[in-house]
Amino acid sequence: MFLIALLLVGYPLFELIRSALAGPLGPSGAWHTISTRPVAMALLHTIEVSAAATALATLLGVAMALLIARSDLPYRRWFAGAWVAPLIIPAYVIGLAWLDAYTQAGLTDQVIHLSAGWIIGPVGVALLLGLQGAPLAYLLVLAALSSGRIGELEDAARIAGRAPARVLWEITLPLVKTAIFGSMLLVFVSSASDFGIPAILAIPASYSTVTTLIYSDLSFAGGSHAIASASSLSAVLGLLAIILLFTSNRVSRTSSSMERAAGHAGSARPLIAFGRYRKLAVSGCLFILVLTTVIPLIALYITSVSPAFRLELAPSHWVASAYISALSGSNISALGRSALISAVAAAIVATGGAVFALWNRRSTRLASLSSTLLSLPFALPGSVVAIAILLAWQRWLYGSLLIILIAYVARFAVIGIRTSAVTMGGLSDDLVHAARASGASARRASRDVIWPVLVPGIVTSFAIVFLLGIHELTMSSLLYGPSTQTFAVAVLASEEAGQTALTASLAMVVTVITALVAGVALFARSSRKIVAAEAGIEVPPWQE
Amino acid sequence: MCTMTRIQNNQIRSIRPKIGVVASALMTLAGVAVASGATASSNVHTIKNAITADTALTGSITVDAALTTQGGAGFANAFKLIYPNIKVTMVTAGTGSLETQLSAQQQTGHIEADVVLFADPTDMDTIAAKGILGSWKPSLKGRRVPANYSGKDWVGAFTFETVMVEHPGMANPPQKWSDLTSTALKGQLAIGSASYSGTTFGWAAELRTLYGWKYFQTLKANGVRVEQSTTTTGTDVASGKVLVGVTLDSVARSLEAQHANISVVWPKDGTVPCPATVGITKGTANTTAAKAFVTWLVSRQGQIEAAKLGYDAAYFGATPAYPMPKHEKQLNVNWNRITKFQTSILSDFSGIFG
Repeated sequence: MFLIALLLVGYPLFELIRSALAGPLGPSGAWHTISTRPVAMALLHTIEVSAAATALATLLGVAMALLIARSDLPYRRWFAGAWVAPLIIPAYVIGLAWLDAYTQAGLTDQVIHLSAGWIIGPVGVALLLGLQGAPLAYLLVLAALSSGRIGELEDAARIAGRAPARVLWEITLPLVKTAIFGSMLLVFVSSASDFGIPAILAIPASYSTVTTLIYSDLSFAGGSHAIASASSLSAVLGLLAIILLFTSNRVSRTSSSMERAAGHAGSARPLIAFGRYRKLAVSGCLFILVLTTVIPLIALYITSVSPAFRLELAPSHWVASAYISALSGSNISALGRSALISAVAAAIVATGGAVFALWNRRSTRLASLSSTLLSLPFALPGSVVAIAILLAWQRWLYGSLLIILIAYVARFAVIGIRTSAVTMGGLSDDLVHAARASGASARRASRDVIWPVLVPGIVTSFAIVFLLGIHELTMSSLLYGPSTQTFAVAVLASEEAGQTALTASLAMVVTVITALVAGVALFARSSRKIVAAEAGIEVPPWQE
Repeated sequence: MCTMTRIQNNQIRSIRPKIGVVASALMTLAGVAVASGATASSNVHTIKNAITADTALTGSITVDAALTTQGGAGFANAFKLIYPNIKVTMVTAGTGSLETQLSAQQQTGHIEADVVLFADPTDMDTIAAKGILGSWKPSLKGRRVPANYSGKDWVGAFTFETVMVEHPGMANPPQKWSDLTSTALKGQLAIGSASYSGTTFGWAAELRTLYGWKYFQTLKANGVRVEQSTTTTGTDVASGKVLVGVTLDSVARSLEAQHANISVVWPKDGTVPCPATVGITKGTANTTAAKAFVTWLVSRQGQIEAAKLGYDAAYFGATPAYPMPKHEKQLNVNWNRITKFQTSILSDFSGIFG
């Protein structure tokens, strides 16, 4: 296991650092690369948009969490799910959809003669990264609001006569501040690492970010210094991510005992009461959802079925030719390739994670080191992982499906490990001993005791990794070869080639696939809960 | 004099080949050709050509082509009519992207492409210098070979002309390259990326010579939209996202064939001609088939197909439908000089546009 961790992560990261510091340019060359104007500008731009996105995501995320956990907003359960929807849709699809909806000649321009050219550029990038990051902040703050004794303190303050607004300001928010800070760091890192949105909205505005610069260095620059330059940039981005995530972990560890303590799920009385304005509040929430997700997806669909270059609003004129192209020839091959790599990576990660969890039960130092190594790629930006894998394996595997598969497995390995680790937490050694004491063979004890505990974790890991694999653009765009284009790369290539309707139809196909996979996963979860409830079994928290 | 050409679809005619069986096959191809803007004008009527299929030659080749998907498919389909037993896989992308992939493949010791078809001579010289190209070149005997159409390991196949397309009905349409810096076009102009697109590189290099980098800095200040390919700049205008785009004559013909609402502007200060260059890779395992493709491309038949697909053929006088008007000015590009300064030009372009 340790050897696998070394080959998957240790060796590529070593090659990355070696290339950045000891490449043809040497350490001073690496510094020179980083300090050149284009690189310095890309770094500055990345910090700029990530900071703005973090501010927006935090505001929205905290507001969403408070509305769900501390308000009397109707249909809260429905909104709780709807607000996480952007996580299911790939970032580059959201970018394309916004272009089709709100820019010149887009849907709103055609219908109400209103367009927002600023979407192409830093403001649009920051806005969409913020909207993508908001669900992350929302989930973290919601967890903090739901898991502590904060509700009891709020109730006490209310009984003592404090106004709801003061309770919110003086008790609730200070008690979840570490969760808010942690989510801010997470959103900042995920925004700085994102490639899909800058690729669609920043490149046309000549506004380079670190990830777009790495992409153009490796994809178009060609020269011998391209890989050295990309390595230096990756090392900087990786270092930035590690520092921020380390800080985030430290913050989480020092979080208040209130946030960590178990308690009832929030205040009995809502702190935010809309009263007779409840319908207005629902309308406001719906308006935001429609504006940020529904209209862009409608515009994307209309673009995909419009016959010529302009959006055709009359359904009688819609055609399916772009979908025929999207689902034939090289595109269907790319879809098959994506499904294959994602499924194989998901199977390896899910089963490997279970095996690793079994091995890790002994808690050896080697197992702990392996676990730490395998967790690193998920924390690092996709571009950094891709460059590291490229440097380590390109000599033998450049342009092959295997190099993409290795990257997927390395990056998503932690999902299998963590999920199975939590699953194994529910397995007591006593159960295995009891089975053996009752006369079961080792194989029978494994089949009847260990296997049933592991299976749900394996299924969950498989679904998550498959979904992430189908989404994946950042690593694939740097690792694909002429005959190994993935579906996400096909979308990007089609966009770069100016095939508007085809791009939209490819984006719709990938959205439908991810929605279906997510839907099946949700349905499976609900079914398990229903079956468990009927059987009187408590559903473990990791399956919630 | 500057001319805005609006191509009328009723003017579209197709070439009439002689041989019956092949004629019907070519008629089928014509459908593909029209769909991709590929039409031949009546001025190719003098080119009469007998086409016979060669079933003896077999094999499989991969062509790295800096063309649109439709353009690549058009050439592959036409070639397969002559060599039905040679499988052709077209890998289409920008010249910069293909060159980078070829360089990376060279490091692994296995180059997938058998034939390379780039959109400019500079990158062809670069990969020739890296030893990616084989030393074989097809014979151009009997053809009038234009200047810059023959390099060390490659030959020119056809020509891209960099032109402008605009949204019809503009109040003050641009007539020359210098008009593009007008503030009236703020946020309404799209250009390609010199790193990705070979023809855009040639255009940028030539305009830098004419107007200096200040020209591009002004474009940037005016909020120019920098797309990757010249196809995208054309579709940006066709879809109304911007009013003016710097694109290729072949892209404009393709858009016209699809009834896009655009006008072609042949700039008064001159179009920027860019030779499409072709060669075979060193050590290709499919040498015979690769040579057959390149030989066919520069042959009379290949040149007719190029014209039908909307490209300005280099030889035999084959011209596309609605060719560049004779009286329009064409800039005389010094490719040797541009090749010499390729790295610094790309670096300066990236410095301005990121």
